Amino acid sequence: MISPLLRVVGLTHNFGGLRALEQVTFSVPEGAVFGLIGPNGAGKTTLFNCVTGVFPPSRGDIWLAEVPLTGLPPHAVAALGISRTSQNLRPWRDMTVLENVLVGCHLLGSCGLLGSALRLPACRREERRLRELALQCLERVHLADHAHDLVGELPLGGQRMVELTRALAANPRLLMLDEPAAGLHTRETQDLGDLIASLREQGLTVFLIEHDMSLVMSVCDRVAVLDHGELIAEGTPREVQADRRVLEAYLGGAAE
Amino acid sequence: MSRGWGLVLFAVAALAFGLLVRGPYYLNIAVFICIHGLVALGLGLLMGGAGQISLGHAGFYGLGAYASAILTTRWGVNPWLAMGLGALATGLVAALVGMPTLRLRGHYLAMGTLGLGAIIQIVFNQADQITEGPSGITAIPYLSIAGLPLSTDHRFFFLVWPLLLGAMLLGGNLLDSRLGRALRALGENEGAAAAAGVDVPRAKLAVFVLSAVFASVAGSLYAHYLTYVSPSPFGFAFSIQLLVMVILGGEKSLWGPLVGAGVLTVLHQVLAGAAHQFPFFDGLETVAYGVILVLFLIFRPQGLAAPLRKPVSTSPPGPFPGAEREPVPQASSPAAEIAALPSDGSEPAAPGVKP
Ligand SMILES: Nc1ncnc2c1ncn2[C@@H]1O[C@H](COP(=O)(O)OP(=O)(O)O)[C@@H](O)[C@H]1O
Ligand SMILES: [Mg+2]
Repeated sequence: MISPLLRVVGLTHNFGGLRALEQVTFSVPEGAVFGLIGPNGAGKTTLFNCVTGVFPPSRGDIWLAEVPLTGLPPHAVAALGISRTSQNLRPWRDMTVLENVLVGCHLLGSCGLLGSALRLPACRREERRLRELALQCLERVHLADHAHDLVGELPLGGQRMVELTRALAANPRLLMLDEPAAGLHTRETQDLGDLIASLREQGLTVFLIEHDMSLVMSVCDRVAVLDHGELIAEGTPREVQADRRVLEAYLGGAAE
Repeated sequence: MSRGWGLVLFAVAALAFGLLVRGPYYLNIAVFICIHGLVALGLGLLMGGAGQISLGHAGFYGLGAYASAILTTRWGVNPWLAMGLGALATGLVAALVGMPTLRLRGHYLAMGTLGLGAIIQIVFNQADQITEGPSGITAIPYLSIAGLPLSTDHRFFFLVWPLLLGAMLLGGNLLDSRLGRALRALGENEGAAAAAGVDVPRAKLAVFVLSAVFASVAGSLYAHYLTYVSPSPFGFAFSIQLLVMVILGGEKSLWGPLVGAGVLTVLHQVLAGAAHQFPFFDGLETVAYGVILVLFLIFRPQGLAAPLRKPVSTSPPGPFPGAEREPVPQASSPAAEIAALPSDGSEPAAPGVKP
């Protein structure tokens, strides 16, 4: 059996009196594309936020391989190799495309205040290296021509791509995507699916929240289903699709 | 690079001014524009960079001034060394205030610095064994370079403008660096910056300490220029003036705070002159600042200097048709291209890499 990269055990999270997650346990196998689905308000984004340290969970434990993540601040979680995009955290619209991707390269550098302000040789070298990396990332997605455009001026599809490129630039072990296809055209969604599949082929583990069922069914190795904060099913896309509780909760519910 | 040319232009203008203008009245204003510009520059890095506000920068300015005054008059410390020690002490004080307040989201730093500024001024007034109380410290020695005391407006001007230029260079370098991008990113969206691995409290603390150090150095310059310090210039009113300078000039631009410092320093002179002739003008200065602040926040929140730093788009009008939600009209869209991306090292992207 493939060893799990991400393990979530007994995760519970309350917002005041509202129980957003209740005893959620599952693991994401290394190298897999793992889907998380569920009706709106099921707690999917909250689960992402708990894993990435945005909120410390009320109860439960989270591990990346053998390293406990519980209680770590977001930047420390990122430093362990988790990159994410967000449902509503947009890219930095006041910065250029290149600068956005360079922020994604933040963890690949180490220059601090003095070195940067004085432009010490080591920092100049680091800056050159990061710029080359960022431009390479942009060339691969054919965004190099837009490197110096403000992200806020790009259409939605372009902004999504910048955000994804930014997340990938950090060379993560685990890529977490929160509804990456929301608002994309059918065509763009298909391309996104191809992209995820190719990332998987390169060995990246992907944890995906998505409403677009055809995308989920085509790219995911395994799928977990949340409903009202509880994990009601987990298995291959086929198994989950046939699950009665899932049909009731998700397909018959508030799904888009 | 346009910023580099801006700095060259600034240097030429300052040099020409220094060579052509001899009258102490104008030189005095120019010196104060540079000193205020230095404080405002630091505050601008904090506000525009990290999206944080300090209401106590006059206090840091005062700490530098008093450190220089006390160390040189009481213990005969070399003025340059005193300036350095003052900056160090001020940086430490800033770190102590910043560490707890910057961990929290929101404007706790503004609260913390508001309190700190008030405490600092009380200490200047009350600790009269060291600070001479409200009457202040006199006979502060001049700075000197290679034995030449900087005792005239003219000589001092030739110290402050290159120093300001140097500080602008440092600030510009910082904004274009890894840390500077992290700061701008967190100013726009803290959560996203943290998710990208930015240690948000630490990055904010770094720029806050730097801005306090800039203020401290400016304070030391003030002390050695006037050779006299007293508590009154370092109070809340000046903290607000600094805030007006930064907002007026534009906190998102490197030049904004300097432009704001120029406008406000000249305005202060004009209004002070008017108040001299027409006593009822007294007190109108504060009203004027308030009106300026409100007008700018309503009509030009980006500040006077904003266009100077608008990122220039050098790329040709590309395949993104503006607001249209169309994907790139190429044989394949970006996603398909990442999908096909080769893992071998494709050619390093030389174009666009800044020299
Ligand atoms: N920051 C928050 N504060 C309070 N309640 C929240 C917060 N974030 C989410 N919730 C609530 O938690 C529940 C789960 O939300 P969310 O995780 O965003 O669901 P999903 O991503 O599955 O649509 C919802 O009822 C939502 O209103
Ligand atoms: Mg959500």
